[in-house]
Amino acid sequence: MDTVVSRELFAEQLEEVRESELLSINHWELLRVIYPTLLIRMRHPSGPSRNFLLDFSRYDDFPPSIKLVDEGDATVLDAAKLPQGGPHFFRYNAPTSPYPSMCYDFTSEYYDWWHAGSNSVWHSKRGSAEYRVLGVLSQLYQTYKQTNG
Amino acid sequence: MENELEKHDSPCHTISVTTLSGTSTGYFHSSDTLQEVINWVVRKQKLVINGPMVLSYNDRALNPAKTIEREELPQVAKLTYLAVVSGGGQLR
Repeated sequence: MDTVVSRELFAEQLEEVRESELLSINHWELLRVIYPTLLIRMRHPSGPSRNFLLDFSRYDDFPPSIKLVDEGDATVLDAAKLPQGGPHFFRYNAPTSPYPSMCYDFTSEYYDWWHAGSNSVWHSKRGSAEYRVLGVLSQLYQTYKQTNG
Repeated sequence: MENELEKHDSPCHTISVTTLSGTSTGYFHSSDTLQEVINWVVRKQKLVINGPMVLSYNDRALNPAKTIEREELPQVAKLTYLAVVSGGGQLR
């Protein structure tokens, strides 16, 4: 893990997020941005909002870790409180995952728990727009929209 | 010639398209198809398309084959053009 590289990548790509109109179009609210984390609130088209905490500590080698958190920033662990309906959207991969995660290749949990040892996939894609920070947020939002909110 | 006249007579729309590369704004006629809008933004932003994409307005996917008028877009519209998130749960 190279903290300097992760921090630089985070700072550089965060500018693209701040300048993007996707924030206003999609009703995203950047609640807190302090390296290595980004806390964002996304409003579901049906009305409710959810907070997502992205951790870029290992961004030199992995995509961000993504957690669904409550208003107090605590990870939502209760399966009954998770959005329903979206494929692979914040599910437990028991017994190896201590919190619900997404099985998508733009999350570190995908490589840590769901498909361990496959992070060459990430390295082959990380240069494309869909896998930079703005692209990761866009993919997160699109999967969130497929749930009931 | 007749088609040209029809095109000039049709109302003008101010269309903004936001992608991961930024936002571009252009003027289109209601008789223009959304495929023309897509072609324009791909050229304008020099986008490299690696997979399925979707043009949307207010979270509604638009049909590229239809005209701006058929999709009932307002005079000023903000669209997005983004990659479709496919798969999940498997190596791609």
